[in-house]
Amino acid sequence: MTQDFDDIDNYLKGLLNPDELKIFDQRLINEPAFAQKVAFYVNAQNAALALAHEEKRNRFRQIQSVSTLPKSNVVKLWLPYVAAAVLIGAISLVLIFYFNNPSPTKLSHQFIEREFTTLGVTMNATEDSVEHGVRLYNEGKFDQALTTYEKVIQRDSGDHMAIKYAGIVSLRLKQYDEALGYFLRLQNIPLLHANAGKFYSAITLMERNQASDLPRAKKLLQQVVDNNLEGRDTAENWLQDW
Amino acid sequence: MPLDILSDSAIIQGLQNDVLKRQHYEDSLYKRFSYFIEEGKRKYSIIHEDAFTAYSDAIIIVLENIISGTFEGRSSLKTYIYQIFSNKCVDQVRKNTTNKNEVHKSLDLSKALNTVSDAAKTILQRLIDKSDLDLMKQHLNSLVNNCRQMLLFSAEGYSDKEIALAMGFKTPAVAKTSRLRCLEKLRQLYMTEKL
Repeated sequence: MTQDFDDIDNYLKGLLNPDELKIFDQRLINEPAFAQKVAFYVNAQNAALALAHEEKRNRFRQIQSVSTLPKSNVVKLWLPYVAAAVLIGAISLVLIFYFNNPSPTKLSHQFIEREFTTLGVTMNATEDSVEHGVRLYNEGKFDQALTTYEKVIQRDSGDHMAIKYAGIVSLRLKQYDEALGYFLRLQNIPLLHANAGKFYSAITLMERNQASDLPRAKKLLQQVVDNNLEGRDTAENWLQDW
Repeated sequence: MPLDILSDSAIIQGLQNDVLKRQHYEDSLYKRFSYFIEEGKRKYSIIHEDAFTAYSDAIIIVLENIISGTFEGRSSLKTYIYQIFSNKCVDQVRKNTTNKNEVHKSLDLSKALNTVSDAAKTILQRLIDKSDLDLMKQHLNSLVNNCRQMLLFSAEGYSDKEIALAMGFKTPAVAKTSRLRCLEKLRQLYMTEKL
C-alpha cells in the first residue's frame, strides 16, 4: 500500500517528529518488508535520477548538434566593449574604495571564495577515498564529503589530508566548532612539510566572528607569520591592515 | 523559445522560480559555456565524446546545486562550471587509464537516510547492494509516460507543488497521491520480475 511510501516520503522530507523517527527506525530493523520498501524507494529514486540525467544528456547532445553555439567569448560588436570598459572603470573605483580596508570577516570570505570554492584534484591514475571526498566536495555534496573524510579518519586518525579536508568541509557547512576541532588536530600533527592548521583556524574564527574570535584569529595569524607557517604571506598582508 | 544568452542572475532565478520554463533555462545554461568542450579537448587531450560527457555532467551537477540552493553565488557561474568541468575532464583522463574509478559506483544510501541508526543503515545498505538498477530503469521506462515523468521529476528534487504545476494536477496533494501510486505500480512490476 502507499501508506508505507507516504511514511518514507515524510521521513525523507524531514517531516517526522522525534517519536515518529524512532518508530521509523525500529520498523526498519524489525520489519523486513518495510526495510525492503525503503530500499526499493531509494533504488527507484536512483534509477529515476539516472534516467533523468540520461534524458538531459540526450537533450544537450541535440543542442550541440543543431545549434550555432558560441565558439568563445568573442563579442562581435565593439560597442559592448566600450560600455564594459566604462563600467569596469566605475566599478574599479568603487571596489578600490570599498576594499581599501576590508573587515577581517570580509577577508576570510574572499579567501574562502578564492581557495575553497572547489578543491584541486590530482592527475593520479587512481582515486582514493580522500580524492573521492574532494570530488564530492567539488560537486557541492558537502555532507557526503564530510562522511567520507570521517570514515578515513576513523581508519587512520593521523591522515592529515583527510583531517584538513574535513575541517574545510565543516567550515563550508558553517559548523565552526567542528572545523576548529579538525584544524587543531591538524596543527598538532608533527613533521608536516606544510601545515595550514593554524592559518585555517584563524580563518574559521574570522568567519565565526563571535566575541573574542577576532583577537584570537589575529594572534594565530601573528604566530603563522612569526613561525613562517603555511599561509604566511596572506597572514602578513592581512595583519598590515588589521 | 530561442536559446538566448542569459545573464547569471536570470538563469539562476529562472531555474529556481519558474518550474514551467525550467528546461529552457537548463538548455540556456548548457549552451552558454558549451565552448568549454573545445577547450577541454585541447587542454586534457581527450576526445570530443569525453569532453562532451565531462561538460554535460558538470552542467547537470551545477543545475542540481542551483535548484537546491547549494550554489551560493560566491563565484560567477562561468568560474564555478569551469572548475567542475575541469575536474570532470580529469575523471575522463583517469577513466581512460584505469578501470578503478568503478570502485565508487555502488549505490550509497541517500543523504537523508544517513540519519537512521547504524543497525538500520546496515540492513538497508545490504538490501540496496542486492538491487538491480538496470531492471529498475527498464520498468521505469515501461510505466505510462505521466507516471514515469512524475517519478523522474521527484528524483530530480521537484516538490509536489512543482510537480502539480508542471504536470497540471489540481493540488500538490493530488500530485503526491498519484506519485505514490506510480511508485507502488513500479514496485509491483519490479518485485514480479525479481521473484
